[in-house]
Amino acid sequence: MSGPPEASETGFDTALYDRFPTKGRRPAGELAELERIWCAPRRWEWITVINNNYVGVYYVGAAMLFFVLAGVLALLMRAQLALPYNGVLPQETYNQVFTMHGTVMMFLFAVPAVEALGVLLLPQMLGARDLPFPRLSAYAFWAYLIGGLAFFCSLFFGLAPNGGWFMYPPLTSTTYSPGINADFWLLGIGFIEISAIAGAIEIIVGVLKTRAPGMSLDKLPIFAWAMLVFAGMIIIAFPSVILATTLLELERALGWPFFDAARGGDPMLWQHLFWFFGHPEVYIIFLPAAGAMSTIVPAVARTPLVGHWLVVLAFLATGFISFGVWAHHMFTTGMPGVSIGLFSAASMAVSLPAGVQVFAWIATVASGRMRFNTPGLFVLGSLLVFVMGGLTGVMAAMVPFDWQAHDTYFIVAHLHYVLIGGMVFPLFAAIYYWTPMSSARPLSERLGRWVFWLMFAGMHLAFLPMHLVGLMGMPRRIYTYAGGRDWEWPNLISTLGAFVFAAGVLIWIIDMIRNFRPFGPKDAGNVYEGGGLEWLPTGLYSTRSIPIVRSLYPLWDQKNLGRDVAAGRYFLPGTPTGGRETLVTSPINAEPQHLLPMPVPSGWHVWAAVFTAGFFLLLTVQAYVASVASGMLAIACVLRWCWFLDHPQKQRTVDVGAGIELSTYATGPSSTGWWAMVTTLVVGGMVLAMSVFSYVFLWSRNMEAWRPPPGTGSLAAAGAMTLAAGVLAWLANHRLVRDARHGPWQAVAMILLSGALLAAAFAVDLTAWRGGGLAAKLSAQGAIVYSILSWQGFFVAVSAIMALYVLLRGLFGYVAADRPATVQLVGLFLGYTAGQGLVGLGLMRLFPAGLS
Amino acid sequence: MQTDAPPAHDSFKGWPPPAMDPAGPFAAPLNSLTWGLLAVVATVLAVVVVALAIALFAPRAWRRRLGGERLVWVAGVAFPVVVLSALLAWGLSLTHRMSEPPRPGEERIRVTGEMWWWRVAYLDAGGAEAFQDANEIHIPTGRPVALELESTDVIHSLWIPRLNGKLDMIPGRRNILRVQADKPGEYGAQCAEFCGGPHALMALVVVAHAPADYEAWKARQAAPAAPSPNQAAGKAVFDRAGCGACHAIRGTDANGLAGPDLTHVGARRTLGAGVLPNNAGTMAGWIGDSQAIKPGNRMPAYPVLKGRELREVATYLEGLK
Amino acid sequence: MKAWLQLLGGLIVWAVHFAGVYLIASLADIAPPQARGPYGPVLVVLTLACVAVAVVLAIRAWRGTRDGEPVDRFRARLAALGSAVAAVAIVWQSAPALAGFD
Repeated sequence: MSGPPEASETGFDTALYDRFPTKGRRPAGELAELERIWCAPRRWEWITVINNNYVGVYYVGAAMLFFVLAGVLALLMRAQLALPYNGVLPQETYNQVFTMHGTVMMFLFAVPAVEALGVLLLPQMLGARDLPFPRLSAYAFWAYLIGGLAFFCSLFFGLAPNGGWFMYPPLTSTTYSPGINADFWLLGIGFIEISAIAGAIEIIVGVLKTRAPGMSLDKLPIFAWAMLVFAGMIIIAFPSVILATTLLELERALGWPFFDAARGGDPMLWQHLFWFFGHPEVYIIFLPAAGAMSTIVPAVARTPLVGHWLVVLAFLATGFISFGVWAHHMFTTGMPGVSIGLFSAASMAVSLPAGVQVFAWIATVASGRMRFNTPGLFVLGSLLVFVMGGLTGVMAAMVPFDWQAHDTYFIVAHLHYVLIGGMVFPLFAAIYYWTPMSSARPLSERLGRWVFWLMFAGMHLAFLPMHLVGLMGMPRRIYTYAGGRDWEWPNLISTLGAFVFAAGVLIWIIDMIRNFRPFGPKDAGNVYEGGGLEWLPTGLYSTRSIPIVRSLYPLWDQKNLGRDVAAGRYFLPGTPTGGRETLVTSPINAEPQHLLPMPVPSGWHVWAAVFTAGFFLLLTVQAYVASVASGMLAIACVLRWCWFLDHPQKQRTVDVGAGIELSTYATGPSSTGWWAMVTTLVVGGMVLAMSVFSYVFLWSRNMEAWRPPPGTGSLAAAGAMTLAAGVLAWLANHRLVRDARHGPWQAVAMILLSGALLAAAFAVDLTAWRGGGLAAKLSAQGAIVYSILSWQGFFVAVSAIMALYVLLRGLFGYVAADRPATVQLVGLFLGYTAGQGLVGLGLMRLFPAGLS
Repeated sequence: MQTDAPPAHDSFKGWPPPAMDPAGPFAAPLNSLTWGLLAVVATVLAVVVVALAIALFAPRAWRRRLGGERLVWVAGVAFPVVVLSALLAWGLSLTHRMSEPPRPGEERIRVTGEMWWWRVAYLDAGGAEAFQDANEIHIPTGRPVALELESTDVIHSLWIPRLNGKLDMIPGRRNILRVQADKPGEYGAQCAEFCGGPHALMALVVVAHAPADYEAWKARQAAPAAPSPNQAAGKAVFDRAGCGACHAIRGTDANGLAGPDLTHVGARRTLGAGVLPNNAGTMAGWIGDSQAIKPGNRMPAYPVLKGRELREVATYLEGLK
Repeated sequence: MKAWLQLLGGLIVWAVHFAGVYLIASLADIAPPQARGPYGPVLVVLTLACVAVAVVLAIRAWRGTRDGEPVDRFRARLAALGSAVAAVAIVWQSAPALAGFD
């Protein structure tokens, strides 16, 4: 090559890639050192382990446990509905069981299962040694497991929620749901969202920043694209349900009337907030499974995916458009025709990407040589079932048809076809396909065929009749029905089908018990001959060296890749800093940017998970003192965990391979921590955005009764202080990196002052509203104003904790010009809090008061 | 409850499927749409199955034709855009037609969802309540009727599949469901939004009369109860048990509003909001222990009423036609 | 940042249009009947503008699919088709409002 290459994304000279694969033998002891630092857990370390090879398996296992548990609930439901006026489950039990079936399947199985697949597969698939924040995903797992099990156990005490998985008020208000059943849902599921969001942050940063060099976006595996869009959708969608559950819990616990029509609230607000989350939720569940389909179909058909870029676009388009269809769950609520039409149109649009994927799979099958092994059967079955479900979805998107079909068993049929076809079958395909990567033995092909055919036949038997019985008048969520309505035969057949499906799952469990042997020294290898990096020879350190990727199917196209990688002929063949590490690369071209030192296990994240779960569960059973104590312990554990962060290595740069030097410390937009903080702040911003929506919505329902805000004096004071706080937060980092001598103490002082100003502004604003006589319990305006203030207060409190943390770091001498990460990230948080404060002030003080 | 007991009313039969057995001009276009959609869906499914079969089993030449991006563009992009545009146009225009507001002078009936029964109030021309009934809706044939849907507790939904799609009853809002029956008859309806407890057992019958009969029916309904004199014993039981605290019988001193109006309960097709057929036996069974029949409903059981007393009050109520 | 905006530009325009239509429909719903006048024309302008922007983005991206590294051509194709899909969706979702539903 002559001359410098084209302008690259980061200035990295890609000609350096020509140094790889390196020649000659690696130094003695290099591999042993790598093995030592990535060693397997012993005894207690099985709980504190953070390596994705372990956490991923735990995670998938927990998700499948909840699948089986929720499936048993379904069998109970079908047993009850097999005959008219059956006595298997009394009414109240049935109402709890069907609510739990839906809730556990959606929140404790579906999203965690696909997130778990990401945790298990992505690092290997991307050529990274682990996820960028391993303790965060472990924390997310333990919080989910503890919270999920406790939540499920509510059934055994008759305390399970019974308002349906979407928990519409007013049915779920204290008036009509007086027990703590609904609180189990609101607080229990509410905090499991934290788990999902933590996982999403991990996946976004992992897919964008920790890829193998050369893995530019056009070579990013399709599964990674799916996970990236999945994680982005979680960040945008989940805050809406977090807000909704918080508001309903505030209404239940404190009497703030968001959804109570008598005091100016509106039950429709819940529906908007819930479905703004709820519809993207089902695409969140579908996309990773579709990504798995797009990986497994090419592997089993032994040919590249046809229309790869079209499928990538389908993911992106789905990610956007699925946010515009939420009210198609509300077509029967009496919304005006224009709105209904808008949502119907968007619902048509969102089916286009699905069709693209289906035909991409068919074209791939046509261009290859399909094998009818277990993964192959599951992907073919999935295709058929998903298409059927998608077509009934197009029917339901047609408003007048939905006016007949909504809330009947037709919709139950539709949703199970798309979920089983679009997620469960691909998940089983993925389990059979990828088990050899983690297990010493693959699963059994013979048993696998039984699993598939029983599940496939059972599924159709169970759900096909439901289309008809729904149009025969059978609504959803009924614990029994009268005889003589001609509903008996369809229901009996459905029940039979459910048990056939369950038999298939049972055989799968037997297959797992007989053949799944994880955590051993060897794995079964590339049994299905896939082409992705996850099939390279690996140890607990993932691959011995991190390869340069030149193709979408590296194992098919790059000769001798496995041999060269295992011989250490690429990046990071050892551990230059002596600890765990991986490479950080740029988002578009995957050019190496810096080395990411990674943590070793310690117990703090597990304790943090225990105490976080404790906080929410104790709150549910109204043990307030214990709950607060648990919460404070959780915060302490998190701070102790954070204390490990931002300690630069002794070596500022290291040789990552073939003499290429990279820095070991990064700040700013190229660093993983910065991305994690920004993503978290987007979550906060979405909660704020949905709060703004709620405020405007409730105003539109109470326009004459809306009281004027407090006087402009407090607005000016609070606004000025908030603005100053934001400026100081930005200035702190600015000073820190420019002045080595005075910078540190100035930065700490500015952070502290910023935090104090935020607190003062909050106090001024709160006092003004209370002084103006607005009461939270008496009107919807009071409720929403104080809830937005509470959200700001929460952020102010966290800001205060963070500012004090910075002070502590400063006192220990950990704040310096060459290690600005902590101050920078705290500054981002404080800056965001200031911005959020200004938005809240602007909204509540100036709308609608400022318009007149 | 016996599993072989007949349904509470013939109009709750599931065959032919009520959602595809229209009995009026609002339901008929929905049925056409349903059949149209089924045809489109069946065709598309057939195309997909055939394409997949070719992709898997056909000779190489055929498979090569399908094995490229062109299939994705034609079948996955172009074809769906055309079909979905057409469907969208059809759906939107039908939605628009079905969303016409009630015309002045249309019969107005206010139906309020309660847990777990239906309060039905017939409005006069000025919009005031002329008289109240429960758990049954009577309409004239041949013209649209505006059902004003409300709720005082949780969200319910009224679904009369043979006459129109469903519409929710949301506290704090009023939704208007227009229905029209072409011929006299009885049309089953169900609550279609989970409202807790015995939501499964919240139904009603819509009765359509020829216009002249309808006026006569309204006149009879508006009149107070006129029981025959030898029902005095039953009335006495009714008073002693305090039933008037929750139930109203116009023309007597019973004026409770918490439960269904009983002024003409004897003439209803069903009891318990579509749960039981209406006769003296089921009436007695309901009063004696409605909790066993419809667990969780707001009417307590009356074990204190037995034998003769129970028969007397049941006979009295059955006589309120 | 710029690269991502280019990649997702069309879909972002879709989101802007959707939010606009939703906002206008909601305002029209709560406005008194005599004040409903401006909403129709505003909607027409918004739709035409968004369709125009999406089409322009699609064409510009399509022109870029011939030069640069494979990753740049890949991104350009995604941007082009994304904008085209967005344009179709914008037209569909403007139909109810433009057809004068209320």
